[in-house]
Formats: sequence, C-alpha cells, structure tokens
Amino acid sequence: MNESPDLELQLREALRETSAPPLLRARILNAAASRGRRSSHAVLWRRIVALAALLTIGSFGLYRWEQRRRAEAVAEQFKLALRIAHREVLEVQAKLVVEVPVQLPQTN
Amino acid sequence: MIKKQVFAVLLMSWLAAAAQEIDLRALKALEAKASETTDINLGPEQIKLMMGLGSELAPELQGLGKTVERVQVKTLQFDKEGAYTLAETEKLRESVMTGNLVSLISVKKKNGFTEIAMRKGPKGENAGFLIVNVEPTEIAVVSIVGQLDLSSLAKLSGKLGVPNIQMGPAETSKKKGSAKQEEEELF
Repeated sequence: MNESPDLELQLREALRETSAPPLLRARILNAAASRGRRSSHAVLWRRIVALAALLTIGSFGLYRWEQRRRAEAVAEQFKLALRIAHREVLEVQAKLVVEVPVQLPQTN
Repeated sequence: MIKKQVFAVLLMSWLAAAAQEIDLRALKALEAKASETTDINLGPEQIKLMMGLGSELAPELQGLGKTVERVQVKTLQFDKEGAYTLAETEKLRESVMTGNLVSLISVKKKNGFTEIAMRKGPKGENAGFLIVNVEPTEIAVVSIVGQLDLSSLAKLSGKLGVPNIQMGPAETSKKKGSAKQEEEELF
C-alpha cells in the first residue's frame, strides 16, 4: 500500500503539463520546410534527367532516320548514275554501228 | 610527330579524293539554257553512307559500293539544236580529259563528239572510266572512279533498274529505241 502514493506522484509528475522548449516550434517548421525543399529538388532533377534522356534518345533516333533517308537517296542516285552510264554506252555503241558499218567479206 | 604524319595522310587522302573529281564548271553556263538537267556527284563519304544500309542494298550495289570511289554524272538536255557552240563543249573536253586516261573511243563530228576513256590507276590497273557524249540536243558526262569497267557495267543489264539490254555489236541499234522506252518507264 506504500507504493500507491509514490505511483500517484510519479504519474502526476509524468502527466504534468510542461511548456515546450524554446524554438521547438521554429525547429519543427524549419525541418518540415527543408524536407519539402529537398523533395521538390529531387523531383526537379528527376524530371531534368528524364527530359535529357528523352532528348538524347529522340535526337539519336532523328539522326539515324536522317542518315537512313540520305543513304537511301544516295543508293537511288547511284542506280540512276549506272542507268545513265549504261544508256550512254549503248547510244555510243549504236552510233558507231550505224556510222561505221561492218564490211563483211564478199562470198561467192 | 605522329600528329604530323596523321595530318599528312589525311591531307594526301583528301587531295587524292579531290583529284578524282572531274571539273564540270565548263557546263555551268549551259545549264541555264538546258530544258532538263541531271547532276549526280557521289564521293567516298556518300558511298560509305550508302553502304551503311548493309543487307538492305541489292547485292550488286553492295559489291559496287566496295569498289567504286566516286560517281559523277551530268546530263543536259536542250529543246532545240544550236543552244551551244562546239567551242563551248571543247572547253568541257579539255577540262575532263585529264589524268591517267586511256582513250578507247574518240569520235568527232561537225555537231558534237564522243569520248570514252578508261581510267588507269598508279600501277596500271583499271580504275574506272569516263564518257563524254556531246550531241546537238544533249550533253552527257559520266565519270566513274573505282574498279568498274565497261564490261562490268554491261553485266548490270537487267539489275538495279538498268534495262536488260546486252551491250554488244549485234542488234544494238535495233534495241536502242526500246532501251529509251524502258528507261522512261523507270524514271
């Protein structure tokens, strides 16, 4: 039964209303604000990195597409050049055949 | 020291590549009078770019891409005769018929001329050909630098859009009309 008053005292002491330490409110508010700032910086950086990656991939894709388009154009020009070369040789050949007829030996 | 050597090699290769290009400035003045022009100038860079297409290219084109270094074609077509003088075209002949060329065919007429010449490499090997064909209403210059000769060109008949007409003395004049017709369809 001796312990009851002590316990009661201890409880009373524990539940006693005390005033908050000075500047606690300011510290809590500062901590919350800096956590918010850190989080918004991280989000911003993530967005920048994602945008940069997207731009890099997009530019590379565009470059590859452009290179391919140019390569196809070159291939077409190459083929056209061969066709013209072929045509010119044929024309010259035809001209020579017409202008310099082959004289066949006379046979009896 | 190494930098100087690399620079010298690069300079030499650039000069070699530039030297292979024929000078077609003589045709500049005539371009304005032409009703139709074709101008193709493919150097090593463009051909390398084309080779980047790899297996998508026709096998013949892949083979040519490995051996041909430069392709130059210029054609001018005129609506009527007399658009240019022979003196003007002589300038063209003088400017293109330079370098290690061995003339195969040289025909002169009062209203034009034809030159077909083989290009020789430093060791006398075949290094392409040059065709200059001046007619009353058409001027055509074809220059190929690389290991492509006229017989290899003939083998391309029926491939890569080249009309399937065999080059040779027989029946050429008869088939000329159909070659033109076939090409018109292709273009």
